[in-house]
Amino acid sequence: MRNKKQIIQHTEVFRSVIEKITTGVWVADKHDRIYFVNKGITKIAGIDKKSMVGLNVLKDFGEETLKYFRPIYLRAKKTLKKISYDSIPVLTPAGVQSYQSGWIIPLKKNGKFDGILCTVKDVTFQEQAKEKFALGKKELEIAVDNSKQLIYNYNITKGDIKWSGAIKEVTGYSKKDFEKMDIKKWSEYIHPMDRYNTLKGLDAAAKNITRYSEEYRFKHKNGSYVYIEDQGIFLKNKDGSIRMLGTMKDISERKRIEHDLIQSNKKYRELFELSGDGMLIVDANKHEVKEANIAAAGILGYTVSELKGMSCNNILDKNSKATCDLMSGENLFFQKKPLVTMEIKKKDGSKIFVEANSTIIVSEGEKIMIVALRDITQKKEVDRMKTEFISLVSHQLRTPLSAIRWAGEMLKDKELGSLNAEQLDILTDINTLNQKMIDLVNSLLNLSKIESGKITVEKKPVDIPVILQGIVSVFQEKILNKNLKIIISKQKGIKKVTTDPKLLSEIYFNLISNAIKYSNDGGSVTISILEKGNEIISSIKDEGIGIPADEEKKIFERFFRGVRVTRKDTEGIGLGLYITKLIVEALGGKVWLDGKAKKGSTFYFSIPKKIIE
Amino acid sequence: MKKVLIIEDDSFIQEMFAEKFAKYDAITLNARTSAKGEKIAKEEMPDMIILDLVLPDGDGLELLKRLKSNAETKHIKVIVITNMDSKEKMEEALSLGVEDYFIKTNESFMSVVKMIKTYLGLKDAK
Repeated sequence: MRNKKQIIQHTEVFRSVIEKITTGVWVADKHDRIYFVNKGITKIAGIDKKSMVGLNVLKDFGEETLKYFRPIYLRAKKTLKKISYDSIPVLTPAGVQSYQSGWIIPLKKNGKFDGILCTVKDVTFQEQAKEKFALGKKELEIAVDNSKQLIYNYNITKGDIKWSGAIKEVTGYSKKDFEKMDIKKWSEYIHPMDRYNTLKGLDAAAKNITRYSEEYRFKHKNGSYVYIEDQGIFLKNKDGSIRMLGTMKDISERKRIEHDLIQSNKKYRELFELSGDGMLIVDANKHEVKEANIAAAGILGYTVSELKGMSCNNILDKNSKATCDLMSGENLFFQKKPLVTMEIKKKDGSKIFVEANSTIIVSEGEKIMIVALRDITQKKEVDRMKTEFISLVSHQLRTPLSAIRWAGEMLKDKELGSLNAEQLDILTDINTLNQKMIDLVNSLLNLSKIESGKITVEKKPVDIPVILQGIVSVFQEKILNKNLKIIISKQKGIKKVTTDPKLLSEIYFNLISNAIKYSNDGGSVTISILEKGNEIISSIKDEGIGIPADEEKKIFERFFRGVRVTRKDTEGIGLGLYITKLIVEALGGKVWLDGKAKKGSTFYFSIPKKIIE
Repeated sequence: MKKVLIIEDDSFIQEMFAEKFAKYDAITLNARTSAKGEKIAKEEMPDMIILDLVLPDGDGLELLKRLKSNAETKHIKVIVITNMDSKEKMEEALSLGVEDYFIKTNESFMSVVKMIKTYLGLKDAK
C-alpha cells in the first residue's frame, strides 16, 4: 500500500513537473497513438490538448515532418533505446513553420515495447538565426575562427551571457575571466565616451528586435583601448524571452587606417582649399566639374558652388575644348607633359590665358581629372612686352648704329676723298667705339632672347676640335700681339658629340676671349677636353690676372665685374660669363671656376655627350 | 641697265646705296613704305628689291608675301637687309624665296654691296 501510495505521489509530482516545464512532452501507446500531452506542447505546437490526443504518430503528423521523424521513431521502437532528434521541420496547424528538437524515449513493460515518450523543444529561433546570418554552422565556425571574433549568447530575459570564441585575442582576458562578465560589467569596460551611445543603440535594437551594430572602444587587459565592432541579432523565443547572439571583433587596425586616411584626406583637402593655384576635380568622362577650390573660383570668376556640377564647355572655347578632350583621354603626350596653355572664358565673358597641369586618376571605376590652373594672362602680357622690347633693341637701336658703321667704312675707304692722319685717327676711334656699341647691343639682345626662353637648341653632330680651331683663328691677331701660346689638348678617343654647334661655339668663344683678354704678354692658354661618363668636360686655363677668392661666387652673376677686371679693361658690362652660364645650362651642362688655381684662372664646363630635350 | 628698288625708311642708307649703284650703272628707285614699294615694284618691274622688314606702314614680310605670290612680281630677286634679328623672321623670309638675309650691324657696307653686285651680275662701269 505504502509503495502504491508512494508511486501515486511520485506520479503526481512527475505530472506536475511535466506540466510546468516549457519543454513539450507527449506520450504514445504501443499502437503509436498519443494519449498524453503536456501544456508545453500546446504552446510549441499551437494547438490544444484535445486535438492532439488520439493522433497517430506515424500517420497524422505532416508529410515533411514524418520524412525525418518516422525513421528515428521506428528505430527507437525497434532498438528500445532513446534517440535524440534535431531541428525537424514542423508545420503547425496554425501554419507556422517551426523547428523542433528533443528525445524519443521508448517505454518498456516486461522488456517489451509499450509506447514512446517524446520531448519537444522549439529551436525555431536558432534555425532562424542561422538563416539570417546565412551561414551554415560549419561556415560560421570557420568564419568566426578566422576573423578572431568573440562570440556571445545573451539571454536578455534571464540576464545571463555565454562568452566564447576569441576572448583572449580580442580583450586580453581569459575565458575564465569572462565567466562572470554580465552586461553591467561589460558596459564598464566600454570607453566612457562611447558607453552612452552603445547602450542606447543596444536598447533600441532590443526594443525593435532588430539587428544591432555598434563600434566602441573597449578596455583591453593591458590597459589600452581597442576598437570593437559589435554586431548582434535579437531573437524572440516562443516563450517571449529575448535572446541576443552576436560577435565582438577587434577593428583597431582598421580604425587606425581609417584615422590615417581621414587625417591624410584632411591634409589634402586643406592643401586643395588653400592652394594658390586654381584646382578643379573633373569627371573625365562627362567633363563636369566635381570640386573646385577658392582660387579656381577666383580665376574663373565664378563662385565655388557655381562651378560644382558645371560643364567644362561653359569655360572652354573650341580650341581649349579640343585640348581638354585630349587631356582627359589616355593621351601619352599629356601623361608625359601634362602642362598646357589654353584660353578660357570667365563668367563675365572676358578671356584669359591659363596654364593647366592635369593628371588622370581612376578611382572606384570613375575616371577623374585633377587640374591645376594658373592665370598666366599677365605673364603672357609681360612676354609680349619682352618680345616687343627685343624688337625695339634689335631694330631701333641698331638702325642708327649700322648707319654710322657704314658711313665710317665709306670714309675709311676714301670714297669721299682722302683724310689726313688726324682725321683718320678720329675716324678709327669712332668706328671702334661704334663697334663696341654694336657688340653691347648684340649682347643685350642675346641676353633678352635667352632669358625669355627664346634660346633654341638645335642638335647636330659636333666635332669639338674643328670648332676650337675656328675660334682660335678669330683671335689670331691678338694672340700674335700678346705673344701668347695656345695649347689645345684632347683626350684620345673622344668622338663627335650631339649638341648645338652655335651655342657650344659661343661658350668657347666667351671663355677663350676672356682667357686671352686677361692674359699677360707671353703667357699661355690651355684648352683641354676630357670625357667623363656621359659628359664632355672642357677646361680653359690662363696664367693671367686671376680672380680673387671673394669674387668666385659672383662672377657668373648678371652685370658683375671683377675689381682687377675694371682696372684693366673699362669697357665690358659684365654679361659674358652670365650669358655663358645660361647657354651651358640650356645645353644641359654646368660651368664652374677652379677656385684653387694659384696662377691665373681655370674655367670648366660640362655638356652631355648627347643632349636630351 | 639694271633697276634696283630700295624699300627702306632710313634715307641715309638709301642715299648710300643710290650713290654706290650709280657707279655701277644701275638705277636705284626708292620707297619708304611698303605700299609705295609695292606700287613701284609693279610699275617699274625692277631687277632686284632691297627690302627692310621694319617699315612705317607695317611688316616687310607681308609685302614680301604679296610680291612672291603675284605672278608678275614673283620673279624679282629680293634681298632682305634689316636689323630685325629674329630666327623666325629669317626662316620665313628664306622660305618665301629671298636671295639673302643680312643683319645691317653685322655686315660691312661693302660686303653687302658686293653680294648685291654678284646677284645682279653688275660690273664696275667707271
